[in-house]
Amino acid sequence: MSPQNLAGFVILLALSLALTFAIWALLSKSLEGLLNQVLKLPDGTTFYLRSFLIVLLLAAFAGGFGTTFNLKPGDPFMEYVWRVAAGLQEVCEYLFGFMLGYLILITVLVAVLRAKHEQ
Amino acid sequence: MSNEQYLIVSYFFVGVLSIVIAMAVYAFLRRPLAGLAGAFPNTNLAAVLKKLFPAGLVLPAMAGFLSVNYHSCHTSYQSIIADRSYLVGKNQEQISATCLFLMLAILSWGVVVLLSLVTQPNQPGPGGEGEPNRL
Repeated sequence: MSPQNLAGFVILLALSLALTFAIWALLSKSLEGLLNQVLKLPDGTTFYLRSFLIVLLLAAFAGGFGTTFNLKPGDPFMEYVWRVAAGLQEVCEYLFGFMLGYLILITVLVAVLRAKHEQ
Repeated sequence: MSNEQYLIVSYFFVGVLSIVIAMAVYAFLRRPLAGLAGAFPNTNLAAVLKKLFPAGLVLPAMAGFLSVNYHSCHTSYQSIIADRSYLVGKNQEQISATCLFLMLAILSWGVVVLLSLVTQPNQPGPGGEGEPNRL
């Protein structure tokens, strides 16, 4: 792998991880409060919070590693930018797909357990 | 290092790496799952969940790694080992597939834990609402 391709790959991975930690920083506190309120089990809250963090990281890595940088050293700068953009698009797709699945899971969890606690 | 040597070394390295990633995820989630399972009145269900958990992470990781086919673009072994960047790309694809399969496995475990929580009879858990969690 040429230094330019390696630099592109590292930049893509760094941007993916930055996106992941931004989502984590935005959501973790509220999610923890919600899970504490609904589950009433500290281990349950820890399990779902850790799952959330791990899957966010896996989505970033899956998108980052899924993009192949095999450009030639003489290729123009914008070719590298477009390749990084294609990788970021994949990361965003994975993150969106995961968050959709997680949102459905948490909604079902809240709905079912709240009904159960009210019984 | 020749391309053929690189192919052999990288294939087994990425295979082991996929198992290591799965074991790291298992180590991170093992304690909260054991704590959750300990709160279930049905001890058999708790034991089954705890024993299935490592297999339920390692097997999807391996499935992801094994799902990548080296013959997808090239028909012969010689054409596969002719191009180093193709081999590097396939390694990246293997890591990516491992991460994707692990994501699906963790989401599935989330559903399994949800179903286990829902099917338990109502009883006060070991921790109260205000007890801090251990992230």
